[in-house]
Amino acid sequence: MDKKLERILPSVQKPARYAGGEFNAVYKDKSKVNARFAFCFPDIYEVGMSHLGMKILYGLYNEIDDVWCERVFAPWTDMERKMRENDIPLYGLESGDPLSDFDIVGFTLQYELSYTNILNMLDLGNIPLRSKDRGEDDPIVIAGGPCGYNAEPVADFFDLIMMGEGEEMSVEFIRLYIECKKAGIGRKEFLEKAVRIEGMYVPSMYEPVYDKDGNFEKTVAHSCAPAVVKKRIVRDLDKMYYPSYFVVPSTDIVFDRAMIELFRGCIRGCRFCHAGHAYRPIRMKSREVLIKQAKDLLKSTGYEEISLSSLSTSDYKDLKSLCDELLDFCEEKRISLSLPSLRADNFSVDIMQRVQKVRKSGLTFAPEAGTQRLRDAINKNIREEDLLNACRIAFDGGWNNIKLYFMIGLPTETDEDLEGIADLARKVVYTWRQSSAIKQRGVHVTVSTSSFVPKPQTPFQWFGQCSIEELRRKQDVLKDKLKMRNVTYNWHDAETSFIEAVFARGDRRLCDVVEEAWRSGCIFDGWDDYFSLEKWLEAFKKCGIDPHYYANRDRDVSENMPWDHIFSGIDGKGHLIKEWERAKQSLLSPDCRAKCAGCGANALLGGGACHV
Amino acid sequence: MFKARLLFEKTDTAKYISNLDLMRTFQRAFARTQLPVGYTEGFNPHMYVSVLLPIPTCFEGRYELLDFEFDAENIPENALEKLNVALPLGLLAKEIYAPVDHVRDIAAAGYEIIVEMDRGFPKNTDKAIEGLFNEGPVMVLKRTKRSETEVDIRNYIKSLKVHTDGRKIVIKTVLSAGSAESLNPEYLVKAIQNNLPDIEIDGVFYIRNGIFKQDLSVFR
Repeated sequence: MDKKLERILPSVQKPARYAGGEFNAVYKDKSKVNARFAFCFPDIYEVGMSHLGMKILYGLYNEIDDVWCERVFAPWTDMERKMRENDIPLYGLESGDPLSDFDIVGFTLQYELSYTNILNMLDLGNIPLRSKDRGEDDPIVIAGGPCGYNAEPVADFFDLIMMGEGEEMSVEFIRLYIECKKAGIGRKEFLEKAVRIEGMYVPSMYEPVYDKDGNFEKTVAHSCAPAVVKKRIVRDLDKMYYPSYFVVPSTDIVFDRAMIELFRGCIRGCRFCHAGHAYRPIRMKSREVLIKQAKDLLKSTGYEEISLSSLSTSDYKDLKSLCDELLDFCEEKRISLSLPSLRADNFSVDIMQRVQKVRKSGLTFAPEAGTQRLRDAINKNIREEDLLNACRIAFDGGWNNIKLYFMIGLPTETDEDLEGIADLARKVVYTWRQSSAIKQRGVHVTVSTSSFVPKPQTPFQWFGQCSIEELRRKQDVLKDKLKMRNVTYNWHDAETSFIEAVFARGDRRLCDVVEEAWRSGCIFDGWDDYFSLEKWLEAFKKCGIDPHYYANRDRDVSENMPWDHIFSGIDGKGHLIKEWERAKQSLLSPDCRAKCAGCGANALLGGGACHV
Repeated sequence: MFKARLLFEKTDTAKYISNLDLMRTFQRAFARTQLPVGYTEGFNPHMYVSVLLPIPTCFEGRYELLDFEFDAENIPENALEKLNVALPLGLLAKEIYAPVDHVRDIAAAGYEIIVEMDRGFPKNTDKAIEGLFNEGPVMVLKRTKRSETEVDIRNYIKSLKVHTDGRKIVIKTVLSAGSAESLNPEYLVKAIQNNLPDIEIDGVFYIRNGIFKQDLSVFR
């Protein structure tokens, strides 16, 4: 370990974050590899290490003999200060080498409020922030992840952005890189070759055009690049790479457990949900493959918990037999199974009772809206009876802690819908009184609301977000209505949701704002202790940009969007508009199993049908 | 049931693992070995591991001890080798044996304190430091979870030797440790800084290399 680093670590909080050396971390001889990849997560170690995508790509790249992939996280502010004071550049956790020594520096775009951290990490790594300022000796800076579906607000900072699932295109990309490096091909020519790989978006080859009033008009592609970048998917998840090991952190992280991925995509078409649209079409892994992957992971990590990951666990077709088989294996080894993302309508008593034998945790349901009318408008196909029935089963089984998640500020929402949230909470408490097996312990219902952020590539992409004042008023209504015994109300701050909304549907002019905000000290904006609306508003003002233009303006369906040149697989002008119109009439659309809505994503499977 | 004691080293990047995290790290390592280790009884059973004398985070440990159990009559074959394959960088299992001494008999620990001074140090610094701890009282504010008291740290020093090496000063010392009374060696460095202001310290590294009983024989 570097001497300077060794000297500062005793003076920072949780130094294990910065040390590396965890079990299963991959070490290679750098003189024997042809490409070095720095996988950067723009948040702290505890958050980044919980991210499944990083584990997959870390394993995938390191599977290739002549590629070495390392991990890089954002240092917390105490560490950053020490690093800057002592002239220690941001480094890869495995080798300790500075970021600027790597061939490829890749960021994951998980969350709009991590954008300033990306700039901070590039700066700490001595890499020019903007693609246009980088030379032959600088790393190629790339990105991928969900915010890539509209990466325009950060487009100037990346040389290349990968659209969609990385398992196949990452390998094609790194092989091309090695080939070009060996042939002495420079970065410009390399990018011209890379853009021919399906799913590769090279922002510098696309020019946004604005009209005389400053409204976005269209994006024009250079002749060497495709007019529209099509998202990549992996067609057969059973044959897809999945790591047989995870790096096991030596310090506590957010999700410290093994994870297997049941399926990608989602059969539900919840109209607010970005992932449910962007990750289509639905593809399942078979039970046999999942069991094998679970066993391999548990063996190689020693984890005492495994979680089943997907957008909606209870929609996995074979869930009961999968759980039964997993539990037989886990119970014997004292491993607990956790099932996040359960839907209240197909919640299974059998499964919960078996899971509960190992460890009983709280139960969480997400009705998202308080009335049936609004749940229909957002296409969250859950009925009140389903929810209360699920609660009844849970109370009967001895649970007494239920969390309910809602969103406020949804399209078409009125105060009646807010009252519906309070009603639902009251009914859940009432259900407990009726059905609880053990009344002495009492019941605890937690109602949490987040503020709705319209996301690109969803049916709500045209909706103008409620103002901060209106969201606060809604929160006040709920604070008042939810003053009842056994119920706790938590709400998520509306200010961060506003900034999130600006960037979710922003255009390339916002790159200047991100840089300005970072220069004025914005960092860790997703953390309440660091977020400053004031600083952000100041940055917008300095750049002459009105944030409300992006966040709060209702857009017309005829308007071109800054992300129109990115194709998620869903027919935007057809399917999304149809769903937006149905939402305004509070009309439900059936899930993919009940009836194909013709979103178009099955075309990504090469004409085959979705694996519903 | 076989009560077992593990002697191990905690060096390199493993220095930064805190005590609580160290227990979890060992539990997972044991799980990876698939050795028959013992679990606690009760509603929420967990693997039984107990660190005998937790070492401060960032200290290197050359003589660390951890108690655990085997769900077996004896130490399983190749247990040490299997454990070493399952441990992260910097944790090295040295020996597994049946405990000899009781944890309450821990009375002292040996340390090597390496003080680095990039700009060098005044002549006879070694003598000055030895003098500091041999003569007159050396009062420091000692913090416990409940209170702060001023103590003479000499009362905790069982032995102390200083030698210089290039731009480093190495202090070898044995200090009180264990449940009755103990002293963190960082207090020694604090005392040097307070009393010998000519010494400009750029880095300090701590190595714990022994655990002893009252008579200063090795704790096993």
